Amino acid sequence: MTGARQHPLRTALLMVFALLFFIFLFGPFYWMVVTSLMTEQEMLSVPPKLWPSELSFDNYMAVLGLGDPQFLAEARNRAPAVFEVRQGLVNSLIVGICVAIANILIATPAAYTFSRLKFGYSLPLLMVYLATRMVPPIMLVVPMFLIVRNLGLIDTPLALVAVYCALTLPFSIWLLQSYFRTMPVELEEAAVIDGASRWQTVRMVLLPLSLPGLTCVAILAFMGSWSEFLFAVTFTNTSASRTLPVVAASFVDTASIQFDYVMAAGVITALPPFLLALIFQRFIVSGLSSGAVKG
Amino acid sequence: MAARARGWRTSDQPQPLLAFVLNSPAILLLLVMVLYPILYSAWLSLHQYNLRRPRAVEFIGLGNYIEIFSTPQFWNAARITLVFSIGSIGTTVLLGTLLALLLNERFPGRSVLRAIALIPWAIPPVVNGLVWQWLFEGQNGLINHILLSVGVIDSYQAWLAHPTTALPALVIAQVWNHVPFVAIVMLAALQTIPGELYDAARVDGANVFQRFWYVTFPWLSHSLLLVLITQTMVALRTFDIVYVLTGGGPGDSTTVIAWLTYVTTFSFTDFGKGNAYAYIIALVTMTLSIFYIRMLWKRGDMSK
Repeated sequence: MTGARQHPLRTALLMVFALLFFIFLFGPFYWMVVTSLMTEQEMLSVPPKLWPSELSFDNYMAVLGLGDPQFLAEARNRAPAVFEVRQGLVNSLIVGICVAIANILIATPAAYTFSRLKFGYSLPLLMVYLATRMVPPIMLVVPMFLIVRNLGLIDTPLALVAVYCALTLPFSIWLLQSYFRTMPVELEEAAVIDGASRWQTVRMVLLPLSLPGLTCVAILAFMGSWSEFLFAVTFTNTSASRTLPVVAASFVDTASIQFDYVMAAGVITALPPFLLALIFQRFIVSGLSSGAVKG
Repeated sequence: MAARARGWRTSDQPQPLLAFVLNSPAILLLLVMVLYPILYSAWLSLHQYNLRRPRAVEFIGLGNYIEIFSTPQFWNAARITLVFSIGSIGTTVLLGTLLALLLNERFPGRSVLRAIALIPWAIPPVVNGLVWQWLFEGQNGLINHILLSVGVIDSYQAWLAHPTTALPALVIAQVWNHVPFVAIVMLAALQTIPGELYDAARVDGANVFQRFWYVTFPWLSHSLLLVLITQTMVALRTFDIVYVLTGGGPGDSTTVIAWLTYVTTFSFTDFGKGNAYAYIIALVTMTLSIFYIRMLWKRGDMSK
């Protein structure tokens, strides 16, 4: 088929399906962004406006705690949760970055052993890592809550970092070891012939070449912990450690939901994963498909 | 020097000790954060243990399990979980596969659609729930506006507050979030199909449907099965969107098993029973995982 022109009718039909998928996949996201840029009055107008007559950033100002005191006091009256968003953003960033770094530090040496060393329990160990990925989080959260409580770590970011590392690590190891396998070992052998030690081959040959794989692991670990909710909501109870998803979800606890603020908070929560997904689209797609199909 | 290089080569001498040292941080973390909680959970599930009565901890064997299996609460949640899973997995896999087939074709705007398709995947589940909460809203929700203007409904509906529509609403939100993942995996599988197979089929006079049924479908069947299993595990853990969208209600019409576990444990502080629920979910998941791992094994991905 390569090079051959396809029938125009076929192209048209494909584009109709593409349009339907486009509306389904993009519509809800679009509506969130557009609503977040509307004033309350415009948001509640009937029939709904698909585009605000004037872009308003008031919702973002309110949610991020910017603006004059009176404006913020009104915002707080409408939705008490607005004042937690800023701290939630900081907490989410701290937790996400720590988890990403820890994943690289712990997964890299482990993944190296499966791709470059020979040892008898290699396959069983890989299976154990794979098996831990299957453990449902709801099963871990119940005993873990008691453990974290007994350690006095409830309501601290540290508890979340530790949990998220455990949850993301098996996938990171799996992804990295399959990535290392695609790197030609001959380059490292050439370095050895030139007198390099094992550590030097890793530092100067394998790791620089594996930068795309390492980036992918860090991004997926960050995104995983950024979005996590079950542990975040059970292990935190004040804004000192609440992450963004917990703060965002707390907007719906009230009797009347202020959707203009909710959508602004939603956009802020979705923004980092959204940007990362677009920027690193290629890495993520190949990482996900290899990780998912191969385990 | 050449001799040293040969000695260094991966396949030459086993190095179990170095391997252990390099794996030890990961092993340690998983022992503390995964294995220990699993055992602790099993132990707790055999006890009567309510946080409000910390002194009344008592070993009751399988008492929690017996109680769970004899109450309608559990069976109701199991039924809702089943309906939710079949609905969401079926729709997700169908739409995801269709999207993958579409993205594997050539048409103007393909790369745009491919980039757009990642958005629902990247959106955190909580935000996904909030977006659909707003779309399904009873007074100003966009879905009400659209359905009313095309004449499907004659008055606005409170979709999330009605027992018959709350679960379908939950399914739709779940499907939106997970279609991209299925599409990515299926697209990757589609792109490995050698073009010669289609050429051969065409030479044999196969039409487009026969080509799909005899070439594409068998080639995809393995990935399809993997996707079905992973999506089942995802469906069984569904918690976030229930929390945001329905809170298990109205009544208990959207109380899936993961939600029941959460409420039992953290609202009623019944840790014994909560752990027993968690174990039931885990056993179902484990059974599925065994199939999953065996399939990977058979395909030979694990042996090398």
